[in-house]
Amino acid sequence: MNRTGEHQGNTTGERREGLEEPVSSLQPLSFAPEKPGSSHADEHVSSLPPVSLDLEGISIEFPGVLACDRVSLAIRRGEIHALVGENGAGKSTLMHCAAGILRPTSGTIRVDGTPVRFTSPQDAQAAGIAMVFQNFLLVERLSVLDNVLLGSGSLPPLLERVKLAAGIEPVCKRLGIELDWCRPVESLSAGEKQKVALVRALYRKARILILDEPTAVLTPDESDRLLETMRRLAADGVSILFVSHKLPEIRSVADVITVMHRGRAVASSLPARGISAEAVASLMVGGDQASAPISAPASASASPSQSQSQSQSQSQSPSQSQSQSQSPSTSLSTSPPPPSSPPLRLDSVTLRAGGHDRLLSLSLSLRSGELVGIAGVSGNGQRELVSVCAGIVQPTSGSVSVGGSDLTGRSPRDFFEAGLCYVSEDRYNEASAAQLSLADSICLKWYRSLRGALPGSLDTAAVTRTAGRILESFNVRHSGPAAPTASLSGGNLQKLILGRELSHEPAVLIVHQPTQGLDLASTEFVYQALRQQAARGTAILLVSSDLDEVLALSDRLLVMYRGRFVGEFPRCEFDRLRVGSLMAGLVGEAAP
Amino acid sequence: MRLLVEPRLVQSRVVRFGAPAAGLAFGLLLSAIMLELFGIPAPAAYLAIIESGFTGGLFAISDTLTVATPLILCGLACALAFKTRLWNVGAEGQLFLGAWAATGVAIALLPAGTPGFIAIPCMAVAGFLAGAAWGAVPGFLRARFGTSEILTSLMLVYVAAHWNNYFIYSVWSDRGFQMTRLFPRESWLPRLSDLASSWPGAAGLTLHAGFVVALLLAALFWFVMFKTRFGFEIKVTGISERTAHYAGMPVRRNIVVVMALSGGLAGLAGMCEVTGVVHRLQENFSPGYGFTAILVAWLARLNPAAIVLVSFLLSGLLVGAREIQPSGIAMMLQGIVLTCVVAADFLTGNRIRIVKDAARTEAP
Amino acid sequence: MVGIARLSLAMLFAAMMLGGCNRQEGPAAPAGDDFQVAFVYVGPVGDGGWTYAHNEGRLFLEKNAGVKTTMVENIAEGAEAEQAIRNLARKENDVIITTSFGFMDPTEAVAQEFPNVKFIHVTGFKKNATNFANLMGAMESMRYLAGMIAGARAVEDKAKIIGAVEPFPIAEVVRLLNAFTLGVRVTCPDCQVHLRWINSWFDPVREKEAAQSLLEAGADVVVTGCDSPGPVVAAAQAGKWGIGYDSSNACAATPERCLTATYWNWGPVYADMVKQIREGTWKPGDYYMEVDSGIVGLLGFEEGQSPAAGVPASVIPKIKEMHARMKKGEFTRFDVFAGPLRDNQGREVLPAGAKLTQEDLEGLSKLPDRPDCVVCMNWLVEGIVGTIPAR
Repeated sequence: MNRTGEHQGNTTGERREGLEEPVSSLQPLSFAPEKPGSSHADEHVSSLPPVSLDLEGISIEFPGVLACDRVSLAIRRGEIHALVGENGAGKSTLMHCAAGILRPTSGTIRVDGTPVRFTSPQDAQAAGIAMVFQNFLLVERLSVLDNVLLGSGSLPPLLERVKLAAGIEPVCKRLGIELDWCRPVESLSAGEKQKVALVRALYRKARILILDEPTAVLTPDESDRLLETMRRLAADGVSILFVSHKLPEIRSVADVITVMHRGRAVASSLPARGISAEAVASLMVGGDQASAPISAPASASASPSQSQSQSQSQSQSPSQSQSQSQSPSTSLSTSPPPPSSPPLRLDSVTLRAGGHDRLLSLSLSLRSGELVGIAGVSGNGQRELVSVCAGIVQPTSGSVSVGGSDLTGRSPRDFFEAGLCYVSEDRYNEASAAQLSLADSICLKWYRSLRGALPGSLDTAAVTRTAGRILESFNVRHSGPAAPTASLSGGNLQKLILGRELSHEPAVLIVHQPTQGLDLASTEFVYQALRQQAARGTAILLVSSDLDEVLALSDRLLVMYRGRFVGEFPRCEFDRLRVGSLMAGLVGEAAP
Repeated sequence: MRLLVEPRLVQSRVVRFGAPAAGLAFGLLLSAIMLELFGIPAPAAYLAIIESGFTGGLFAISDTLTVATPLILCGLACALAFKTRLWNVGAEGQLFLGAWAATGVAIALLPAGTPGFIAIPCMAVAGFLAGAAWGAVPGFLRARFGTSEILTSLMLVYVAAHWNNYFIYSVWSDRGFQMTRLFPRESWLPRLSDLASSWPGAAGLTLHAGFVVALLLAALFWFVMFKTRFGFEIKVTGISERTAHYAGMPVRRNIVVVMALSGGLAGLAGMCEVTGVVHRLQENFSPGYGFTAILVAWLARLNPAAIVLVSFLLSGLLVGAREIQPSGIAMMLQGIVLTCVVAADFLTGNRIRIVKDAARTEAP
Repeated sequence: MVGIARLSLAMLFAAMMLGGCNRQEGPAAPAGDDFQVAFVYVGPVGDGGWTYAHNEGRLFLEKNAGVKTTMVENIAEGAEAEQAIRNLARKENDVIITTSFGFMDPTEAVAQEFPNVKFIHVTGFKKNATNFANLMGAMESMRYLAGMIAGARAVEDKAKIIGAVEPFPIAEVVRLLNAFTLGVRVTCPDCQVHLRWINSWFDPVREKEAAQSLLEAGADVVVTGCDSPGPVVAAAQAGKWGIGYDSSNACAATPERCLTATYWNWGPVYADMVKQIREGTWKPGDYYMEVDSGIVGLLGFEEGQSPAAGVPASVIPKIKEMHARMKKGEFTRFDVFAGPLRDNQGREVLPAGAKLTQEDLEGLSKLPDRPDCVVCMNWLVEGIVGTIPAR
């Protein structure tokens, strides 16, 4: 593979900060937009099979978010192509685009060299592309056979099920798939459902398969068998694009790897065999590529948007922002000395839910004014951790204390009254509710103190006043306090929620995914607010799957993997590479 | 080309009030066609309904308001639960139990000759508490075990009906007949016809004091919903239980409390029926008020003032439709009109667009 | 678009309303100066049972007495009842007949307000001195005959068990059941009547289920005291025999497997009462009509009818003879309930030679101007397998 480094060169330019990096790594190493048609001109080496699916310069924009930024990706016939990256890196968006579910804002899709425009998944299906979703999208009540036949569009008028089943059987045999055609899908295991979804895709004559985390819900044994099936399919000439977070399996099955980070392909079609897991992990977290076996990036001029983001990323470097905020280190010294009892303390907290251990013996203690970050790939217990910390969920064992008093088993209100505020990741359904008015969303916790003249009554005028004050002071763009919360953009809603929580002057603040889906300005606003609040002496627990964010803001960092803390770093010892490896579970579960 | 149903983001005033009105008009038109098909002159039938339901003087209004009273109370009961997104469909059963408890107080608990100003409040409290207990059961099951309150509250309707029958036919049976004995005269709710001695025009006006209670409770309902902290918690809980829990509201406790209050209101409706109308407990004293109230609450969009209005209109239709015989045709008419109004209600929240070329950009 | 549609709709409707104003006739509004009789029914006319029988009576009245009649059906026994009755009174009806027990209080209340209107309430026990009477008929006599038929059938089939599906353990129902059982024991002294209370007057599903449980228990004949034909149909489906109730079409669904039906024939009594009222000879009171009034009938044995195929030939003359004696007033319900009577606990209820009173039969007590019952109808006669729930 002689793909040039121009595909990988964009990584550092995208980073918000570069703490350990020498300044030189902040040089504008930008992605150079490929010229149409030229992308793979240099690739037609005769020994390689032809490209069957070619995504070129795909950009997908959602309101306020550029989910994919000029991503190019080529899959050859019979190739198993792994797509890796953090949550929110744009992998799913890209796959949905290839499968005809989303339409790209710009860019070209070619199938076997012919440009195509998909307006629906049916179009993609007709072109031989099929996607298998994480949840398989099967009709639980129907039989296996009915699910396979469903929506194939070319059924004979009389459904002769036996005949049809017989037609599919040999294909399955060759792939090593055995299925009982008559069983209802709801009685199948996850692995079997996966097979049904695969067979359905093949029955629709798919030549290009897109698999979204195919092994995520499978047992190790089932995973192995699926990987074997994938190999056989590839041998039959089927091209497979699959997303996975599991590096070992990627290295065992994939031919090439494309790494995405923040909407960009930071490395395209790396040969899977040669690359080290650490290198991939490093690329995934936007790390230094020096460790990757790819040659130095070609330099190119920065696009305006990148230079902007870069300047912002510089402005966010901790030293600068701390000097920007009104209360630099001096305020820390003026704030009262840390009391003997920590603002928030977890003692060997364990949570079991749905038959699984979600949290395993977590202990954690926050000091006043300290911002502790929890890094980790989402789904490793972060949601459960913040829920336990905020009293939303009761731990199975262990204790949670706020401000020195043990609140284990108490209600969220007790936590709140002990001085703990919590910004939930789910802004529209937990931290507020879409159908509530802005005033109501703001007074979710204030309402108790806004008492009217009569017993039990609510001072509705004060509700509106309070809402107006917070909307104003947190600069929320809104259309009146009576407008529904749903009318706010994600960024403005986050300002509202953060403003509300801060207006209670918390001793402890827990924020979960505070900038997910926000644009740069709002993100910056949130960072500023968090830093200022920490400077005022509030203990902050920041839980985020955005490693850059955690690295940039935290005084101390813990890595979460499968419900445990697997690493702890004081600020002076931040090591992006090591953190990335811990997040991916590559390093043995070291005691924190 | 295909039809696309999408929610309206903004509901204009015209749509809010125009759509139900248009639904009503369409329903009446459709019913008129059906009536004519059955050989009944529709305009005359409608005039007869309007006359005996609304415009036929004091009697018509009195009759209509008498029927509206339990509908308002049960409508408030349903609205309170629905606000919290608790589907209490068992108001009928809570009404039965309220009637049962009021009866017990009147004929079994209080000594004969207890003056009305003691007896009636006692009956009201008993009716409320019994209804509340009957509502709290599904509430508790829902809060504690996550049981669907739709099923439990509905099932308890049948339990309540049989519970009442047991007392009507056995414990409190009047000489073996399928009813209790008459309540003592003191424990009847005052009604307009009581004034007949000083105002002869009031003779035969059956409207009783329960109607005033219903109006007062509608006002109280408004105050609680919009002007109290409890009302705020109810609103948030109804919109998102997760958010309410997050905000530190006692969600589970509120679920039980709301179901109990809801049941209590329905129980009060039952108490009003037996002390204001029937004056004894017997079978079939409610023609399904508790079920009709679900519709009332829904059409009124859970607004207490609208509940009063909708109850009044619906009662007028119920009373007036008795003028059309056989009753099957009247029931068909009611069914058509209500179906059309409810269907129109859907259009206030959603709009239907005709799309020519469907651009599929939505995720699956 | 929508606006235009709505406008045209409104105009159409308005036009219809205007057009309608020119028409004279309103529905259910009796016309002018004729003598008018109005009926208030608890159920729908199409129930095929109780209300159906009353409506047959109304049609008979209209045809034979030359009066105008109207009816309102499906009236609930709460607020609706009083309103409906009062509305009819205000519409210048001369006689109002209410046909459900639960209408008793409302009828009484409205009767007080409208002294010039006559009110007849069916199956109650209240009356007043001026214009309010209650009306009932001696159905127990017919049930006694039906019991004789059932017993004979059981003997023929060498069976010992007869089933009864009954609504509620109230005096009226207990009286009819006891009479039936006394009849059974005439033709089959060692037969037993198994009892199922279903606690509803009209519940086709439960009635049928009760019948099926009786058939599974070995019943050869199933009699019903409820309003639907369900038990009769269930018996026929099981290849056994049914005895219907309420109306003369109770056997219509399964005539070949239905022995008879005890039915109400309100028409002649209505006609007679209306005649008396018009002549001014009618007095309010307790009208408990005997068999000779024609108010009750035994299907297959009335004029112009012939016994069903299932009725054993041997018993037909006996029934015919007894029926004739009843019509002549020689054998009344008091003779049906003549001592000695024992209840199914083995106690003697009535010594030989004694007879029950009207108040005993109806289980009445504490009524003004009527004595209290002594042997009140709250016991089950010997031969019934079942109990009356305790009070």
